[in-house]
Amino acid sequence: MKVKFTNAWISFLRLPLPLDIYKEVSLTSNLEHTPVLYDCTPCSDFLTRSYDIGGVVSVMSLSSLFILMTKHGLEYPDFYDKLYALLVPSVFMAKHRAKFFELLDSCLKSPLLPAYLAAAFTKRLSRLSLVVPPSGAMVIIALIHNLLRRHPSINCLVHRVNETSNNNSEAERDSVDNDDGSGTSRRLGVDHFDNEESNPVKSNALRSSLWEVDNLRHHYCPHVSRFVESLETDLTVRAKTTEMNIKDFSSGSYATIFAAEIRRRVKQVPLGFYKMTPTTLFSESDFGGWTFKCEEEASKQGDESSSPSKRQRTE
Amino acid sequence: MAKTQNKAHKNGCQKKKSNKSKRNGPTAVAMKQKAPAADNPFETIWSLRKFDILGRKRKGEERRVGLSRSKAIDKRKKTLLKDYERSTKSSVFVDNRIGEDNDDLGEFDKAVIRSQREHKMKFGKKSKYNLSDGEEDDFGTSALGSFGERDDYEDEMPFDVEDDYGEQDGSKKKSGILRHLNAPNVGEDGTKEAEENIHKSKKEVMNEIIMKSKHFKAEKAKEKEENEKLMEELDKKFTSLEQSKVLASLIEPGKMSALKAAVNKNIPKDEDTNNKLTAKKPEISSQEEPDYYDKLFSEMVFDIRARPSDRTKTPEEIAQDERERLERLEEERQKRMSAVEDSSDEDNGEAERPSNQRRQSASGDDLGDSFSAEEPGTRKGWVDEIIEREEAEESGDEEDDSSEAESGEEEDDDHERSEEQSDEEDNARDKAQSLKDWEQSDDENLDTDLDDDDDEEKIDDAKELTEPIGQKRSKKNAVTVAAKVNDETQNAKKIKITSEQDLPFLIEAPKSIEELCALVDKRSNNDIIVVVNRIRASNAIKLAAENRKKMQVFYGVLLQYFAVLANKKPLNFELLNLLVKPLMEMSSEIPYFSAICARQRILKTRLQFCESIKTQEGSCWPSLKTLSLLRLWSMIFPCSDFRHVVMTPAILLMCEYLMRCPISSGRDIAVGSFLCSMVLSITRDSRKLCPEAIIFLRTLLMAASQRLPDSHQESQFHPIRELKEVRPLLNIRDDVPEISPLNFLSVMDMPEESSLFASDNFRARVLISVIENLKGFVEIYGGLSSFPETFLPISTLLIGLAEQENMPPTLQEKFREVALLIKQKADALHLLRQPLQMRKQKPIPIKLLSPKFEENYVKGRDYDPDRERVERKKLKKQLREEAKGAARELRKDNYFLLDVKARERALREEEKMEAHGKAKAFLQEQESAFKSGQLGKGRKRRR
Repeated sequence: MKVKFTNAWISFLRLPLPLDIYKEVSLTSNLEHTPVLYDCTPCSDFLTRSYDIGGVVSVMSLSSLFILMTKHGLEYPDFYDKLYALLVPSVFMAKHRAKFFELLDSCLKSPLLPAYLAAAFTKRLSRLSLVVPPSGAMVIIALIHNLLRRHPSINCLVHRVNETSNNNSEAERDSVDNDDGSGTSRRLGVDHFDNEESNPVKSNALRSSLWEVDNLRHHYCPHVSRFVESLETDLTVRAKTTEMNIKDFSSGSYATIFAAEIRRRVKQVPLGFYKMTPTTLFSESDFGGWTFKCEEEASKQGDESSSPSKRQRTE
Repeated sequence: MAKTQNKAHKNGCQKKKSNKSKRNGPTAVAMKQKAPAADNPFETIWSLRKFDILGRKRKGEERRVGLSRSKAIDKRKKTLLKDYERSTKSSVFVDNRIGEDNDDLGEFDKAVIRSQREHKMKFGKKSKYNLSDGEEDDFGTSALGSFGERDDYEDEMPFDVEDDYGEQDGSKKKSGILRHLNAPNVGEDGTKEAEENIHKSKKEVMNEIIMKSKHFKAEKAKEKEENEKLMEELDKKFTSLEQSKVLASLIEPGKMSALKAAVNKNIPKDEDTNNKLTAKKPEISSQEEPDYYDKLFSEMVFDIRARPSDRTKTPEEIAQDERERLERLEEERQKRMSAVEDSSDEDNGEAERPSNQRRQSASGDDLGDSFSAEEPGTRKGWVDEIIEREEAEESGDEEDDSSEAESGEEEDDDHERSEEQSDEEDNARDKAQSLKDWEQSDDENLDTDLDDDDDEEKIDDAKELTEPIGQKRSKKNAVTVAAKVNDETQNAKKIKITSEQDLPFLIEAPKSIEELCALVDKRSNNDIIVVVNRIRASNAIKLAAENRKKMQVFYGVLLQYFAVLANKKPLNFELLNLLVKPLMEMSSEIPYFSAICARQRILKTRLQFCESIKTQEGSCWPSLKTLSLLRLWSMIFPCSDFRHVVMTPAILLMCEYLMRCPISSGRDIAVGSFLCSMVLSITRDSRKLCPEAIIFLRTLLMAASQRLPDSHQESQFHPIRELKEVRPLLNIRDDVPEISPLNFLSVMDMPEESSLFASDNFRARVLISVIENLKGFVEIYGGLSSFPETFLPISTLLIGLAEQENMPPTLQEKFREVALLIKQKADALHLLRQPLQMRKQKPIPIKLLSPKFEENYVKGRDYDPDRERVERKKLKKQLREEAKGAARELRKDNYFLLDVKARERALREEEKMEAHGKAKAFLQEQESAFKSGQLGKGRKRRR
């Protein structure tokens, strides 16, 4: 019976499927068939194919693939390269992002990963933090925290002691190697990280620094800017630190952050201070490129009132 | 009972007597017993220190070496020797006698414990109901007597039978207590007495002391009195002498005054004692010429007094003044009105009623307390009320409709607006429900009839039962009736209002949006503001405590009015602007409440937004109402706080709009870019990072560019939106002659499919606003450490845009300018930026080599700073000492045992020697006898 079921599945999966069915299948596959199947190896073909497609489908197939790799000893050559390519901003708005982040964390769990790979992932994530919503930024910080803790060798990303002589010679070599440096590579402030590079080996992440994380300190959302401070503790000392649980952050969204903010008790309410209480709702000096004139037909009703302010923009 | 008491008293007396004579009977015995006979003279010797040696510890100085030695030997005799003796024996004799194992107890104490035990046995449960047959008691008492009482009374008085009985009774009574108390000392009567003796004596001593001190005090008082009397007499004599002017002849006149002064000074002391003298005194002083003080005083009398200046008014008083002014004006108006036209219109009645109340309450101190002082006319029965309620319910709907019909001229918007209004109502209801949790919950913030009932109940709790309801009902009735009248005689009313330009000066704070609408309907903008200001003045919080609640309700209503106004189709923007000021001032008066209002509204707005995102119908972008409310809050509350109860949710909401709303029309783009500029204005001060706004701007710029970005880039940066939809919306195809800034209000006013949004002119104008915003963000975020990463791609995008052919020159210029600005800032940052150094290590202090000195150094004390080491050292030392002590003890034990053994051996030897000697002596005797030949003789003789 089991064999028959497996055969049926495999033959179905071998068919060239349209994209929507693909999505459907990959979504249900990890839930249902993997534990039932008699022999898992044939369906790995399907999964690798779907993983190669990229985008949402590969995110979905990632979990099944992960099970195959960990439990059934599947070899997958460019797994991490593909995973690296999956890190795009859309992931942070996708529906199944929680599962994806947890998987990402567990994929990067091994301390045996090479430093360049971990650094590339870290830098990529931190670069993403510039474009994602606050909930995504929280997940990114948690992921970076875990990566930094697992790989003490990449802590130079957040803490680099400034030895000028060493760096200068290195930078000189860089200027020869790197074509995008364009003469400014002598400076320490230049980011050597190549975000466009899809191969983590060539991304030069180890020579960069996580300025983006520093940027997040000024994030408008207090949760994020508070959370960044957790990276300040020395994560190389493993005894004193603990890993973050990605699950706590992975399912975050605007709604959760907003709810947390609304749930806070109102203790005191500071008010804005003005020397002169402003009289207009929108002043044009504050809003470049806009005017707030009343139109003639709109102001027809309030006819006896004085004419609305018609100041022009100062810029 | 009385007898026994008497006896007890007698006993007490006897005891007292005995105490005095023989205070320390039993204790003395004990002392004698305890005092050891010092048979070893070495035990009395104290260890002597001959010289003081500097820095040596003086520990264990005072001890008697001999004594401790003999003690140790004693101890060994009791333990070690016993063991030794027992070691050769197989059976043991155990002494189970009471107190025998306890060395502390003397013979006497042992006896006490034993007798106690005996008592216990006797009065145990079994023998509780046994009748005592005198013998046992006698035995007990005699046994006790041998130690305690009888010894004491021996020589005092003959021991009589009565006393004995009393004692028996006492002992019986005590037996109950004895069962609980096992303490050896309490058990015996004798010891108890001894204790009492000590106690009594102490008391006596204390009494004596007290008596003595009392006596001493009394004597002192007596002396004092005598002294005073003497003084008085002396004074009398002296004054008589002085008045007789005998002295005056003797002394100079200059000194006379001094003397008098002295006398004056003395005399006030005795003022109480004799009044006559004091009566005389002023006469004496008045006779003399005025001194310097008096002169000054007389001069100052005619000086002009300093006038007290007006105190600066407190805020409460200012509010009070304002209110009084308004009251006066209102009264005048009422007078004028009644004089001119006396048409008893219902509308007029409505206007009049609050003023009547006012007039009544104005007399009192508490002006806001209008509920209690209520005119009897409005008081109605229950039946009437119910009828009214029904009526009100009916007319409530009408009223809604009518007010809507009035407020909005255009019929096509009616539906939309009514929806909006019902939304508002829902909103308010929700608010009211949720606000019940808050301590400042506004009960009157309910505008529907259903909630009104709750409201009433609450008021019932607080105040009298019927009156407020009646009043409320009547008020409601008045309003509804007024609305009806409005509905019916609209035209007539219009005329009337325009003719009746003057507003009521005192206005009760409206409790619902309908009331407010009725109040401000058909008025000009300025009049509305005047109305609002008058409401605020006549219900100022500082006037009365209840006004806070009223103002809170009014604030909610006004905010609602503001929101409704913002969504009206023919927008009265000027009125919106005018309402800003009162709203801001009011929220500064009730900040807590305004924050809660804002939070509730934000929450509601977000829920609506989520709904619309889900259903995907219409535009999700915020309406003008939401935008103006957000702007209002960002003006009321500070935007730069790290975390603010209102602003943080507000900015979260704005960013969510920017991130999640799909762009489907030109209007959406305009609204979005306006939202960006609002975010910019909010983050300008605090320079907070807001990625959503930048991404949005960037999306718009990318959409504007004709060149298709490579797919990779698109996937990198524009994941969230489908660019293809936006693209046609912003692509400028033809030349645009001149670009004026977008009019926000007209954009908001326009429907989505308006032709304006398709025109190139509009696109150019949007791009202008986008680039202005971008410039603002560039300026704000110039200092952030990843500025180049964020903005450099945008700069390349801008350069690409500037090179497009159809781009108007002004736009091109702007694009280039901003791109240049970005480049400059990025370069500067590249120069300045350092790799991160987030791990701040504490600087390790340099090891100091300067010698450390201790103040008050004591030799031998440990100054080691390392705690653990000190601890370890201490433990080690303790261990060493203990080991040493143990070894010493063992050695001494050995010596002791050896000693004992040696003694035993010596004893044995002695015995042996004795036996040996005896035998030897015998043998010698024999031998000598034999030698002397007496053997035979002796025998022979004996025979």
